[in-house]
Amino acid sequence: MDQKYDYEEKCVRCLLGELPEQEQAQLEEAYFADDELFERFLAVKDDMIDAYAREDYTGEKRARFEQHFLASEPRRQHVEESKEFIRAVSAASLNAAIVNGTLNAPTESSAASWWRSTSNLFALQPVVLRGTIATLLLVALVGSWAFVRHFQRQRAMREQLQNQETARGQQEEERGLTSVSPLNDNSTDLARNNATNLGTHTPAANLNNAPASERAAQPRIANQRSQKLVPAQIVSLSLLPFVSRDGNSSNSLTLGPDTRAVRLHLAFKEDSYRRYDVVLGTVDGDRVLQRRGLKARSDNGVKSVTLTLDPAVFRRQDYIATLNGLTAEGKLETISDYYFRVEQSPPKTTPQHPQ
Amino acid sequence: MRLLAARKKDWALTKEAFETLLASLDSNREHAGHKYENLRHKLIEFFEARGSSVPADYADEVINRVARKVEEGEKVQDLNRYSYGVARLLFMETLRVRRTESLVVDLAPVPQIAANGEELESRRQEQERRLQCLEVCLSKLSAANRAFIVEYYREEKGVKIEQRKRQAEALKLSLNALRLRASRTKAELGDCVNSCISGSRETGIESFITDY
Repeated sequence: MDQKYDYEEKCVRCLLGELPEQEQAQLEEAYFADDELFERFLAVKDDMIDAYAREDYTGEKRARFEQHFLASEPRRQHVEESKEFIRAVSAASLNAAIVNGTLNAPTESSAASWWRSTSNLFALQPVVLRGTIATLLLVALVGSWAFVRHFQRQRAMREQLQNQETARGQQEEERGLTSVSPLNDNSTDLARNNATNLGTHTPAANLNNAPASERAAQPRIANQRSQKLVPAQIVSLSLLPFVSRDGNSSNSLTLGPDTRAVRLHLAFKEDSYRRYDVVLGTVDGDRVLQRRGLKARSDNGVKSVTLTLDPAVFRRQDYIATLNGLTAEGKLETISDYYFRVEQSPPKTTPQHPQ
Repeated sequence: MRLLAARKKDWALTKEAFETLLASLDSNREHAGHKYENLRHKLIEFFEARGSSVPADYADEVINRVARKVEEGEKVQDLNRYSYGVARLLFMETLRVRRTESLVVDLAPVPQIAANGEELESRRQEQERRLQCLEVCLSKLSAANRAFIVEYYREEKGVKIEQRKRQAEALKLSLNALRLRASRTKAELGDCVNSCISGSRETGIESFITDY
């Protein structure tokens, strides 16, 4: 056993340039001859890069790492990749679809299969992650329920008003808005309500750092739709087609320093497409990114496409997301545009304790 | 001697020489390919550990030299050990060259060149594509591996060491075995992400999702 730990220790010293030449040559010769030893060498290296990227190294060890390990460009690149990997995995850990392995799974999955996959997940996770994911799923459930209920209410209301609004619909048709679903009716109010219920909801807050009592209270807080600001790791915004840019906060996305991922839900009504593409751009016409091959989710007749994005792609400005659908004939059609504004929340201030 | 040097310099790796090298690594071609990749990786690590800025180029040069020897009919008992010997010799050669150059260049911080809008856009798209591929690849891991890797790597400042100890205990593994499993899974993910990125450039990510 001592020999085993001795080997790992030697790997660390080798990677920090602390091994005498003869010992380093012995170590290298050993891993060239034995694949298992090489694998262990790589694992130690991965761990060191990970520790550095997380800023776990301090003082002399950090200095040594920077002086020797980071002396070459390929290794500096490894560290950057590792930082990106940690960020991406952290963001992915908050995405139930990824953790469940249901990314881009068939959209009409039944409630039963959803629960089955969730229970499988719970069987696999260690206790800490289970708590976090349970809270997130509850929050997502409450959010989804509110989303569905809201659309149901809106649809019922719209059906009643449909006849009265024929004339207005014709006017909109003349303005070229009819390709958008009737969801545009009362768009501003709808968006405002939607934002209250779902938009920029921050309940996936820094649960890992919160005491257990606070973590347990999280779903209740979310249910009461508290407006209290908490540092969010994942920020969601549900958007409707052609919500006007009226300057209120209904379609704005507030990013904080702790935000690790941004999720945009683009709702629409028509669904006769094989797949969906989204082009994100600024209102000034600059293209930010394109996502292809997305699938739609369906809830009570309301379809939506969800994108999970790195918050680094956003700046404080107005954006347009254009949703396109690929027809059975292979033709790409624009379904709708979605406007939203991105804001940055001010940095956290440290509370002043009385002396 | 000069003639030999000239012949060495002119020698280039041919398809036949490469096939001979693979055959000497393993009679099963698939296993041989795996062993070749592993050997190349070891060589890259060797040169990287010795401060080279182009470790992959040196690794390929070692492989060229070994392949030439094998093609010439030299009986090599253990290709891994033999390659290590060649790598050490090449390293000595590079040291002689390096002594005449300044090492400061390699150790100096990389100059921050302001990227133009197009470059920034391209980088952002690449980063975006990588993130998207990682999401897809994570979802393609087995449920146990996915849960494992997310738990192992997700950001959790200050408590990571304790959390990993708990994870090792829960899985009844030593910390070294836990680290090894993480490294293997990360490598698997890395292969998947690289395939996804190159595939998504050509045919879009959708085909990767269904084909991979």
